[in-house]
Amino acid sequence: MTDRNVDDELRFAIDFFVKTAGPEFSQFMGFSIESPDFNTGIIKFDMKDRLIGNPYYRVLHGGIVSASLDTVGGHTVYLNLFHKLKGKPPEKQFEILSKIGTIDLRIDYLRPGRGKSFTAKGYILRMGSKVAVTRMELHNDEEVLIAVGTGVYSVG
Amino acid sequence: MPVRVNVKEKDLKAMVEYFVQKVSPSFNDILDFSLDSQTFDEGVVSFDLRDELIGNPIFRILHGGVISSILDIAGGHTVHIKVFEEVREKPFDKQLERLSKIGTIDLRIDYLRPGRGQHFTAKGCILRMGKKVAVTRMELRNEDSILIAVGTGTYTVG
Repeated sequence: MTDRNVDDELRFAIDFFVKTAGPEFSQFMGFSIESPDFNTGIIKFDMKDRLIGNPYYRVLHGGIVSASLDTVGGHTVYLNLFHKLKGKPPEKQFEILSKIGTIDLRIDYLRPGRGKSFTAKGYILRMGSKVAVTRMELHNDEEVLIAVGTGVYSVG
Repeated sequence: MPVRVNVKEKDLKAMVEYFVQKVSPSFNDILDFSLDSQTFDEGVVSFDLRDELIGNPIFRILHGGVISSILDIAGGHTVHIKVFEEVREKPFDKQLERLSKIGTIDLRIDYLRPGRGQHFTAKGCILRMGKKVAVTRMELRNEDSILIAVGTGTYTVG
């Protein structure tokens, strides 16, 4: 049974994120945000010619892999923080949320980025008052694990 | 716009252009960078700030994903030109065989300062060139030489 208020709040948070966090870059990637709650970030995108890195093997560009994992990590931090700031005046919420930025990113490329579509997921490992740490994973449409990452983001 | 290849060495320029043209339109096009490497030992990637590359529109700074992509490209390009130097006397198809095996295995980026500026340069150098794996160090600076991010990349080479 879903809480109507939580759904509305989540939808609002996602819409706001889409409009403000690198919208043109995300649109180019074809990112679609499907986060189910405030603790899990999910971004999906389809394979397209312009996302290919190695034309011989038709695999994702390494930069797309890192960009999608960085984006989902930052997005997960954003959702978590958005929910925590509920009740504060909008200007204060906005001020804090607009300061979220990547400090550190580490990606392990496990398998070639082959597939029809991809799902990037993020989880919070630690939400501190100044810094947040996330774990990210990228799977293809057959649930094959393509890359994992750890991200560190400034939150204060 | 397609990637601009301003690499100095003539044969290397031809090879890099060949790779660049293989995929178009491509992710490289939105980044809109130029390859300005002058030697076989240092990969140089340059690009200007554009709206599509901005992450935080209030502060007008580079998207973190753009920074990681550019540093990954700088590292991979550095490996590419170093491998090319090793195989430059070989026939074209043998060169292609070696070069098309290059791929990122591991990438680590430290974001030191906000990506503010008009023009950015990423440089890569080889820390270790093995038979199967190469390790590179990369740096991203703006037009005032401010260090924005550093990275370490690991790439397959064989």
